[in-house]
Amino acid sequence: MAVPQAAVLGLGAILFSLGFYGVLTRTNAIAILMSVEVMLTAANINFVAFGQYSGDPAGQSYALISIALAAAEVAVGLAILITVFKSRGTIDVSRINVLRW
Amino acid sequence: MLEHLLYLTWLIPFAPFLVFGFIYLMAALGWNLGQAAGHLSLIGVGISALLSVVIFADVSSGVALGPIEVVWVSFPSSGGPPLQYTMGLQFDHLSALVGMVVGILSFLITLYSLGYMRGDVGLHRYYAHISLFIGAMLGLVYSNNYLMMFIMWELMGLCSYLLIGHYNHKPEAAAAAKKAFLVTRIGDVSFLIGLVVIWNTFGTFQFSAIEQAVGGIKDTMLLAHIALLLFGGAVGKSAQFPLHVWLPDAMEGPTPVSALIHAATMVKAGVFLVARSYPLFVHADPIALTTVAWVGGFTAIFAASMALVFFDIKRVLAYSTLSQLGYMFLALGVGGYSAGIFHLMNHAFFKALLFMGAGACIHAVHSNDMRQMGGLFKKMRWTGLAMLIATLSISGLPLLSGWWSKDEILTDVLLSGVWHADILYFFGLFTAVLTAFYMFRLWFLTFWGTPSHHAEHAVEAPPTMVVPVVLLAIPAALSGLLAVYVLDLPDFLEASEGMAGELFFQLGAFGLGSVSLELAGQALGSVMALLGLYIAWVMYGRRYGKRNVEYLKDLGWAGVLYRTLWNRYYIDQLYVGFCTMVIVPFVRLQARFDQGGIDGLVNGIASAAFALGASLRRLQTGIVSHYAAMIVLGIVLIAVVGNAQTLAGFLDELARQNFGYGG
Amino acid sequence: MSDLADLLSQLNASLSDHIGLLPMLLLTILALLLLPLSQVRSFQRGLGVFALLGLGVATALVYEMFAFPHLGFGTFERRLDESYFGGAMVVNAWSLFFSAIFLVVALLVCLASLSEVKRHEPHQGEYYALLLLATVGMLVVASANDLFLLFIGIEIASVSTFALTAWRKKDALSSEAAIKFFLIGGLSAALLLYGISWVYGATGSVQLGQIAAAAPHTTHPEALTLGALLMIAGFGFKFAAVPFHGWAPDVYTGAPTTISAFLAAGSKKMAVVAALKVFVIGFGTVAATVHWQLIFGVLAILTMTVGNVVALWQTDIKRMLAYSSIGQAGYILIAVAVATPDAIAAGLYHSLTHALMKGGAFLLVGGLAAAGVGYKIADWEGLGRRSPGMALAATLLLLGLAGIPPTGGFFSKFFIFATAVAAGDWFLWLAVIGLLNSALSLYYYAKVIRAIYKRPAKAGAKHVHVPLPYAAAVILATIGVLATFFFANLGFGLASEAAESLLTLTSLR
Repeated sequence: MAVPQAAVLGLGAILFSLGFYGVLTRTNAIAILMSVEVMLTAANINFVAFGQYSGDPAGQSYALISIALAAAEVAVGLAILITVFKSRGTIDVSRINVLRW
Repeated sequence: MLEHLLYLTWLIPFAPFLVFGFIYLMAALGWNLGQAAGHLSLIGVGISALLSVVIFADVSSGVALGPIEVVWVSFPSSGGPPLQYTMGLQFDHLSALVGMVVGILSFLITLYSLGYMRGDVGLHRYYAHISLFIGAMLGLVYSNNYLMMFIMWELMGLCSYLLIGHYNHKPEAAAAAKKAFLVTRIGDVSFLIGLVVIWNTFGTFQFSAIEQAVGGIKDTMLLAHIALLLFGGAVGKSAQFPLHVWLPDAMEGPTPVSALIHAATMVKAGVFLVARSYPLFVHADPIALTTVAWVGGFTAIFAASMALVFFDIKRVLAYSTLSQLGYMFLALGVGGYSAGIFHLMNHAFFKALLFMGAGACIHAVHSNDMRQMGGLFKKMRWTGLAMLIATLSISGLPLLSGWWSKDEILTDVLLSGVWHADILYFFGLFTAVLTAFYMFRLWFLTFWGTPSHHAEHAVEAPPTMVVPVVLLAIPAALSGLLAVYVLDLPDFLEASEGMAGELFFQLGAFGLGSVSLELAGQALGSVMALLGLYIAWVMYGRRYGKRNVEYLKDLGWAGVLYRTLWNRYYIDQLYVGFCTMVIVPFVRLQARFDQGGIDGLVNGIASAAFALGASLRRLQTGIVSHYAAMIVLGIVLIAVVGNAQTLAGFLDELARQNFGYGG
Repeated sequence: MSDLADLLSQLNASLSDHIGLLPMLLLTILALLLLPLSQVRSFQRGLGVFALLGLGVATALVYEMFAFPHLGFGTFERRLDESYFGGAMVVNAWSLFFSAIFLVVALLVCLASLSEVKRHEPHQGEYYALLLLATVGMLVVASANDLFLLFIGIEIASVSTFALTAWRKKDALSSEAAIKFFLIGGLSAALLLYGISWVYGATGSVQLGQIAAAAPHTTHPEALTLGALLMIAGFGFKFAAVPFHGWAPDVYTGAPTTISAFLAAGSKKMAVVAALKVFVIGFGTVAATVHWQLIFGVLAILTMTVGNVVALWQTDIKRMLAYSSIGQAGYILIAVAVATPDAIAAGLYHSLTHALMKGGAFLLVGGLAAAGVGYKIADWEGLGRRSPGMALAATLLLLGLAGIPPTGGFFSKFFIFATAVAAGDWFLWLAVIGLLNSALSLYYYAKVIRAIYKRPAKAGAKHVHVPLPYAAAVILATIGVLATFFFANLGFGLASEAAESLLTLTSLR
């Protein structure tokens, strides 16, 4: 009946890896942003899983708080993407490299 | 309560320092304070001067003050007591006396500057540097350890450099500043090496600790080395032979600077250093004090002879300063600790007066040349009178301050057992004649006779200049009398310091009874002074322009002598020659070795670093994905490093299982 | 009426219970007030002054708590080492030391912003509000005693600084810097949070004291190790430690100069607080299983070396300072790796001196740029004549960064190397490599000083007038750099006190 803890943690790990892979391979800034969000979700799943299986309600509250933080971060991030798009006409990060060396 | 008030004494160096900082701060913010900077300095220096007088009053009435100390840096060292550098002030009789003299003179000369420097374009610079200098000088006098003393010493050197070059549009001023800086550096290096040896020998820089430990050191040659290294610093700062060449050129600076730094205070720092280190000198091999005595005695007569011929009023005074400093070292060298400090005090007063008076004359006729002056006594009564008092005093006319200390020095020389004290006594006596002569030559040329056309429209200087000059005439005349009868100076200094000056008094050169000797010495000294005065009167006072020093110029052997003096014994040329003939080729040789050997090595490392940098900066592609990839690499790296032992164990296990070897 | 009195007394009681958090509270309220105030058209110039005053009051509060730990004010009573929210936050000498660093940097930056933010520019309220909020985030980090709260603090500061970096929306470089900063920052936050979740799983708590107690008995040491690695990666981002540093040079170059100063001098130090706190306290009991000291040692070597050798090549002063600040982070990492009480104190002291030196240097660059001098080293030629005061300040700040007296940088760097030597073992090599790096770094600092003094000014170059707020901030920083030299014993004493109070945290709940 009960889902084993390892399975939930495994789900988290898979999401984390997927997200990380996305960050590394995508060049579209929005795609990278989404990948980062997936990674954060993985962490949230971990918190919920650890809290649930050890009977500590704090785990869930950590997840909730971090979701709120992620929302704030995304809001600022999207705003930055818009300014970049306005000034350069692209959000392809492989072409945003004036600052280098 | 008193203990807390005592911390106020930190204001003595720091009040002027704060003024310096404030003036620079305002300049950085774009406000040129101009004359207001002068008033600020006056306030800062006034605070210091007031405190130094209060301290002198306390110390001389027997109140024990201080020392106050703060730990500057305390650092835990592995296996031992923590390394500590302490900064502190100490108020013993020596520092109280010298500090008071410096404080009062600094205040008066800052006041004088308000008049003399008015209208100068770089006023804020001038007052900032003067304040920094005064703070450093007072910090040096009151410091209780060599490290702080050295820091203050270097600060003064910097200020001296900046102030000599104050008129930075004049190439001579810039050259003189550079010369002063370089020549005194030679002494500073010697001082610095001395500090290192002191640290190695005693493990501390505190004067009190060194004074206690010095008796236990049996190696008197080691102590002599330390003492002579410190004396090397003093020779540079106090411009003794053979490092005297910078001081006359330093007269390119503004006159108040010459009065303050190059007559009354900074050049005394060398004498003060020797006095402060006296326990070291006394316990060291006699060679140390003998060297001090001979360098001092020789410089006294050597510099006095050069003062005979020049016409630049400040230059004559500069040579006179050299000669008088020589007297002080002579005194210290023959064991006359109190006599040396006594003369330091008296000389500070009358020489500051002479410079400030000379400044007033220069101000009046717009020239340094005494031939452009003459007859100024009618125009500038107050200045002339004050200068006359100071001239009488420095020449050693009875009962004036110079007479007391010069007499004391000559007696000490006579009584000492230094190598050929008889020759040194003759040097001292002859210098007294020369001193009286060149000083009255200066006074007659400036104030007597018929005015040159430049001097016809001269008027008395403004009150800010005349008042300090006239005020200084009082101590210039009376400081000797007061010190002997009110303060009982020899006891004041020697009893408190526990200075074993007697060591050197053991063998009198002439072996006469001391009372009759003292009387005879005083009489002889006075006769010498009067002799010099008379010659000057004959040559310059009674009828100028007939048979005087300049007349010798065209007289055979005397002409040779005159030209030798005029060219300052060719010592500057000698140094230049030495540099071009010896130092420059040597440096060239060294440079070749440097470029080939050492630079090759350094360049190799540097170019490797550059090459590394060139490739590493290519990693900074500017593309975010690459940065993220670097983070992945980083995680792998730290995972490997963090589990290095586990991994090693794992590999070991693997090897053992598969190949049957290993632990 | 009695209701109001009740409410007031409740408020009073609640305030006096949380008196140590007053600086954060004050700054948060001010930040929220700034937004409506910015709508008042005539108040635009007042916004900065308003924020400056708030920061000043907060700094005064922190100073008061540090200097007079047992003195209450008003009806409040306060003790040092007070913990809040069930031990999630602790206000003690450690947190106050770092709060002081952060607030001083924020003050200097806010002061300089009065001229960096031009009269006509839009969104001034947001600028100052974000500056205050970023400061609040850093203050939270300084006193957090809980992994999750640390994360929240870092996020508050990060998100605010992302936005600040992009504040000049029309400036292409500024937004490029912001997008890089944001993407890498987001990735690092995810790594950090994921790491925290594993530590939470392994020990059942996020509070440092409890982690320390539970860690040796955990049934899953590998979870603990994984968590530690990911957290180091997360902190490495904030620290700009090589190889997590990629964003730093680009962001410092592209951001408004005041913000570069804020990031390099202030927000970077959050990582020092976090790393030392987490690893010395939380992982102090399991240093044998999680080899964090070795990891930080290797990072220190990489960070110093890469920062310094790449800085050799820079011709843009802002970018040179960015690499130099990577190099300087390497020196602090030495202290983190050594982690003896003396070394921690040395690291703290270098954090303080570096905040002053690097903050001052960046603000100086900004001030000169505001006066029309360019960002290239070549543009600074002849500055010694064109602006003697600023040239002197620049010399002192650069000498400080190179670690030459009479600047605080001399003592703080010396302390770091000396404590590494004193700790012996392989830490000795960290000191040796650090010394070599110092020698190398002298080259590029001296290059700038030489440009300032030796070369003649270009023909037609006029006197440079740095705007007063900028000049004042630079001068204050320079005075601080000198003060940390002349009062090194006092400063190092405070740092030691802070370091000791960190070590006593272990015993707190």
